[in-house]
Amino acid sequence: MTVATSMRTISGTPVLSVRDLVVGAKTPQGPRTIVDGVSFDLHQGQILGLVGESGSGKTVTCRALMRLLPATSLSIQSGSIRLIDQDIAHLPEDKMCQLRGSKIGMIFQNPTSHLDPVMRIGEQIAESIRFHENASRREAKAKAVDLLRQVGIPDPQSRVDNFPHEFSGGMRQRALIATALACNPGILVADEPTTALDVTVQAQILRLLLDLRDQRGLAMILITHDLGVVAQTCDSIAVMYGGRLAEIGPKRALLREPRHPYTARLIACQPGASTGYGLMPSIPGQPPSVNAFPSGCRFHPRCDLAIPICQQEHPPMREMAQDHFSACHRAEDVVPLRTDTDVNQARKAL
Amino acid sequence: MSITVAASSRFNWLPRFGRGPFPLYAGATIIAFWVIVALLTPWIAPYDPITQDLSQTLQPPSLAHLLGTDNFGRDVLSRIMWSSRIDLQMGIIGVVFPFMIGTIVGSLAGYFGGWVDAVFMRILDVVLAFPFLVLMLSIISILQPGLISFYIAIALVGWVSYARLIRAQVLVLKNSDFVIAGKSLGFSHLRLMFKHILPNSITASIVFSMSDVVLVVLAGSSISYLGLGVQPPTAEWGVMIAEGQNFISSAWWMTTFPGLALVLMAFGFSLLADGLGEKLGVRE
Repeated sequence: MTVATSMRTISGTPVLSVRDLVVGAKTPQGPRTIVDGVSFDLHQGQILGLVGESGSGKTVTCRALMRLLPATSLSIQSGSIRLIDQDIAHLPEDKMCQLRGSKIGMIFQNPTSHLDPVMRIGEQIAESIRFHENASRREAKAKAVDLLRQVGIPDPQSRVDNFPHEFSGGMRQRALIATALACNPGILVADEPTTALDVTVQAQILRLLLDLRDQRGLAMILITHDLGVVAQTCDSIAVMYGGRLAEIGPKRALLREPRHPYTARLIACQPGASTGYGLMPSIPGQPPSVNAFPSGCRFHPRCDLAIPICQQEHPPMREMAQDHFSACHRAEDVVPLRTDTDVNQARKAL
Repeated sequence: MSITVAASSRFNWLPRFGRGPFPLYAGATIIAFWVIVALLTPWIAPYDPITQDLSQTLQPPSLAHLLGTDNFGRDVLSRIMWSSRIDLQMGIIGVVFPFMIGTIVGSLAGYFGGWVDAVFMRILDVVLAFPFLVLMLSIISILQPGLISFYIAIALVGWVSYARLIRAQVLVLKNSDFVIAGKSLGFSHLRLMFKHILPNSITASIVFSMSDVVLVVLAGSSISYLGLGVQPPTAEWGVMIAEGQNFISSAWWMTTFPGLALVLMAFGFSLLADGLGEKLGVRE
């Protein structure tokens, strides 16, 4: 693929570089491809937003990056994942254990269930420091207090001995971020980190992630289906549909001038001033099921720009502007949908 | 409504049998009583438990012998006190080893699944296929009658319950979010198993172990009664009951008091198990 040279917005060699990643699943109906040919680069200090509907393969892609796919059902079929200077796509598990947490960390959607309920917060943070850096109990605890302070927990000295149930939802997410960052990973994979939180706390957590990026030069992959979150935080955006990348590019360019009809519709679906109290716009049709991906472009059954070739050929990734790639046969014809009238016209045309 | 409130508050001073912390405290008190008796026996037991005094055989309870004497003139009270040491020890050792083996086996089987699980579970099925006492008796007869054989047999047979309990919990917890979070921090399998999954899954086993003590003490006494456990002349409740049954019509105290002692200890552990289960929120 030609995406190899993308993301020049932030220069230097990428800290994470994914090429043609294919993840297969064993299902009772036979083998299925869940993630098909995903490629992107991630640079130091960059936040990449991974956007898509439920079931589009966002989470599986990130689990594959962490090599945390459930071994019995999902596996990486082909492609490469270069983490700094080595390909981790098929690294043995014991080597991978050393990288997880120390080079690449992950935070999750539901902080409550991702913290061990019977272990003190401080111990959970200290555990990975002791595990990866062979620190003494005392050093690790001091570091845990320091980390809690960095993620904005008030009175960390006494909070370090609390159990997760003594923390509020937002504090638990902060604590989870502290555990993920305990061993200074250069990359943080955030799987919908704010979905389970209420809106004010959500904004605080996003602010924290941005601060951490600035302080530590952290590179981040932010999975979300909230384009508002993406617009606030990300430097670039990758849109996934049906296990494939539909479009990838710098945030501004992608949101202002989407070059894939799916992205355009997705942006039009955001609640905004123009929606008023009317019905929220949506994309007609259903997202495709892994058991029956449409031929050619997987979006064609729902696409108002579809032409015969869309049913037959999978569109290749094409560079439409600098660093801005789209997998659409008619990328040039995509117009941003902004207002209700645009959406309605598009709906009529379908 | 107000009547119900009044009624319930009027009887608040009554111990609430069957729920609340009362069973826990009652059980703990009974067990504490037996532990104190067991610890102090060498100093407070009025007579030697083994020395025979043929001039004092089959004496009914009196001031000299509070619970009477047996057919060899030995003081029943002293023998009961000495045997509490053995029965407590049986209860503890007979639970600790099955608990440890069962926990390790159950964790491994549940966590790794696949052939590890298959092998352990088939062994478990074989052990479960035999009635508990029959299997215990055959293992002890293959070895030799005695307390050590009893411990070996109970370790070989008793682990299955713990293994099943732990395995069921581990199966659920191994795919839980905090274990995945642990994996994302690069933790090894052993660390995840024993530092994160086990502390979250062990509560049910701890509660079960308390009621298991009852079974083990009863099994130990039964096996001693059958002559395969503790050997005479050592004092043990099962042995005492076995010795006394020939005199049951003339000297009821020889069987009744060891029997009551056994029931009291079993009752104590049962209450403790109930109360602990209530306290820790485990439903059996």
